[in-house]
Amino acid sequence: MVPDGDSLSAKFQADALSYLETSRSSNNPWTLVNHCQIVKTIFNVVRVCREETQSGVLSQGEELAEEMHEEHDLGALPCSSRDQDVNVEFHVIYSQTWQVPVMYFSAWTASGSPLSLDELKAVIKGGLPEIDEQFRTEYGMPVVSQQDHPVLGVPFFTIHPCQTAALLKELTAKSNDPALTPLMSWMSVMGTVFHPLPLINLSYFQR
Amino acid sequence: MSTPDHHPILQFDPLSSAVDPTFWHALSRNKIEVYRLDDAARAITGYYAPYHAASGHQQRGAVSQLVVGAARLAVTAQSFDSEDDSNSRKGMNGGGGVVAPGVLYNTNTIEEFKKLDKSAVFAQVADRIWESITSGAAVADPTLLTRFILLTFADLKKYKFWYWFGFPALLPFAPVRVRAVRPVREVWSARQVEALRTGVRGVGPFFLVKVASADDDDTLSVRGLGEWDEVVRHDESGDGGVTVGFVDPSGQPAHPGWPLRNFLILLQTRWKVDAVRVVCYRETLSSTTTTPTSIVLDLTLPTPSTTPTTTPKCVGWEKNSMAKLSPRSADLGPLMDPRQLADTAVDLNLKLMRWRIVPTLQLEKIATTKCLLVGSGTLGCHVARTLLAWGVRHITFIDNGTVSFSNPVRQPLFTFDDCLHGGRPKAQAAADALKRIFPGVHATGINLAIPMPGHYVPSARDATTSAVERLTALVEMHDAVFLLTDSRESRWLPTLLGKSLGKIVINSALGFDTFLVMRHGMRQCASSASSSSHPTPTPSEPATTTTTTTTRTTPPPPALGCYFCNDVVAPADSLSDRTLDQQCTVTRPGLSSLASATAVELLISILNHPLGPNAAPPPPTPTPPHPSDPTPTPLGLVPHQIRGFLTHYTHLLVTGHAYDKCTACSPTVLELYAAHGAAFVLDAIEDPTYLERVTGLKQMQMATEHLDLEWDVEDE
Repeated sequence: MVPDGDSLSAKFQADALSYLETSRSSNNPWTLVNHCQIVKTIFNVVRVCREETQSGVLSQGEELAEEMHEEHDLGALPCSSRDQDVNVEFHVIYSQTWQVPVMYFSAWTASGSPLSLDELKAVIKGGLPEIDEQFRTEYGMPVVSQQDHPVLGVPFFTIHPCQTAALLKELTAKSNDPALTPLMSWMSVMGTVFHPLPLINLSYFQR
Repeated sequence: MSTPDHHPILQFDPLSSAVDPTFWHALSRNKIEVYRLDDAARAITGYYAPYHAASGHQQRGAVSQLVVGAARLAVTAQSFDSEDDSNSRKGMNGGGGVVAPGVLYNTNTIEEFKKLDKSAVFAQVADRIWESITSGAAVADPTLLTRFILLTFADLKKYKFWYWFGFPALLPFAPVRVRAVRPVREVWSARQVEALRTGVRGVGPFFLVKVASADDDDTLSVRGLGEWDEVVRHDESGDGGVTVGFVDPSGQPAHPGWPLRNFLILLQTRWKVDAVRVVCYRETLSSTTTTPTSIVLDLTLPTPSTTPTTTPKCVGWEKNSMAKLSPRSADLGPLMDPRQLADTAVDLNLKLMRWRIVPTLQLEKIATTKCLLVGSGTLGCHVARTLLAWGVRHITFIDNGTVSFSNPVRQPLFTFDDCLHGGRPKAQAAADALKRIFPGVHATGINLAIPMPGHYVPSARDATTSAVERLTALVEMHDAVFLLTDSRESRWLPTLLGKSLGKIVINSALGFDTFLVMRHGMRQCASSASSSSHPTPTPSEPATTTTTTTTRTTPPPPALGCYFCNDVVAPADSLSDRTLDQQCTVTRPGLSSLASATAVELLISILNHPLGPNAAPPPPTPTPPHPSDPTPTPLGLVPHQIRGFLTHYTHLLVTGHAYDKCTACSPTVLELYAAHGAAFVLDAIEDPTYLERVTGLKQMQMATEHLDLEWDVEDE
């Protein structure tokens, strides 16, 4: 019998809960958002030196020439760094259409300005660009498109799910660890995609 | 008050605002639907959390290392939710964070944002903080100590936001001195640290810590500020002194975060505390049972003997990214501007093709190719839509007609409304429709009659001259020219101009159930002398070979022909003496989209071939190429001509060579045009036999009998 959509998403829910259990011991655990459709990270923060990024929002200058003078304050710690904080957020959402987990991600600066995909690639050094070449050929994985987040309704980048089912099948066939759910295997692949962002708790896979 | 000077002055890590994009979405929605022009101050909520060791992560080159991140106060879409949830006001929210009450001033214009009396706004909030300290309100609700200010201006047309956070901190009566800074584990046992962690969750952002004084009683409890009398009186009997704590968003190893400042003022003002131990509560989740990044400070507070009657001086405007006391800005265009969203989505969708199927696909080259569509009818509309689908962003239409009632059903850029009141000019209507489909396209419509041989109007000599010049300029500024008109002679001048200016020319023409799509041969500047040495085809056999019927191979490939190279007569008025069914393009309706799609795909194949428009067509083969045959480039062959036959649902690839007596592309014609320009064109238009005479066609005609053209499928 072919499992119907509901039982598949129930399977995702169960896998997600067990995944959350393993990620709980990591520095930056995933959290379940709404009725098991979303597994979401809290902020993953990357600090980027201004000189490392030449274009776009990261180097955007302030245009409003307005300055204020405050009381001399011995108690303020001077800002030592001009690094920019970048938040990268990952959401895993189970797709009823494709019946696979889908990775949605977005990144923005401390002002809330979103990063373009190219800027994001500059942040994830050695990560996303690799999918263009090595990763794509290895897994036949199509890469990034932009879609409205199915829950939030705002645009997110997403890894197109059309090859995920095949990838999951391959990963499951290779695995001989019954504790390793398809979701976990897939997350480990995503972890290499977004390296060095701490998407997953690598120590689990290095046992 | 006897403060030893050798103890350093305590410095506090300032808060750093972190605005979630959802905050800007919610502000925009509120501005449009709720606030409108009302710029009254609004209550909002900010969030901060104990510093989290995993939130600092830095990359330099290939090495990544943990560094201390900023002490963040965040605002999100939830910041606008009403404050009726008193539980979250008093204590920690579910995620371990705490709330801070804020006041939002959203101005209606950028000028008001600049003019706003910021010092007054700041002083007002400082007064409220001071009042909550002196009245004791902050003891009951310590979040009042973290009251903050946010000034905003939302430019909803450009999706740009100007903003400035203020985190008011009352200045101490004299600098706070720090006697010792130690990690929490050096001060308390693991059991006590765990008790601290669980205790903080239930109490709130500022709290009292009660440590058992007896040596054998290893306990610690976290109490609310309201229990001061009980906790401190009990403690004073021992030797621990006053111990307090706060949820610390800072991760600095030797400095507390900003929220401690107003808390210290509360301690000094309300309880005359002059020495205090402070635990800066932070979290490390590598092991949830320990809090090793928390630090414990032993502080000396120089407290005045009498409480001041006015609000102390206050600081705390946030610096911008250039470390100046100045506003910040956010550009939400990529998330909120539908035009930018469409742009990105179209690009990424095309890139899927590159990632999956054709890694070498030159999408940028396609996107930057400027296309001129001569004719905005059935073919022009379909060609434009397919170009758009390929990501072409610069499309110019030429036509001199208006949209008629018969057009919309066959010409997908027009609708019924375009036909009303005499009909809109077709070129402009097509360009407008294209922009409605995709605002990112640069589409222009030019109302222009193409000068045609055999259509000479003596009174319009000046108009014709200027039309020639206009068309020349248009061809000049584009990279590819599509010939999509409904008559043969209207293609003559653009063919000549395209060849002369070295442009890619794609020609498409329809019969009733047959179509032709071809690319015109490029001008071979370097080998113009040698090209004349090529054996010229005999007059009785037009220079046409097909891949199916001919095995002739010439080592240096001869130049490819144009639409007119097969002709033995000059183009002339083909419209005047025809019946209506011959004048109008009577074709099977599906034919034009087939031909148009083929024409665009041919351009894409040309652009992606390493030799571009100079790519050689597939060599003639005894049998038609099989679809599974390997092709030299990923997109496949770059044929010279594609002839489609709807009757048999087949295509035939044909290669036709340049004809040295061609009326549109032969060296003679190109040289005359180069020498005389528009004057030559006028001569050709005025006298239909002129082209035949200068090219030698006339002489050839006299030497031969009439010919039936085997391939006259494009007959309109």
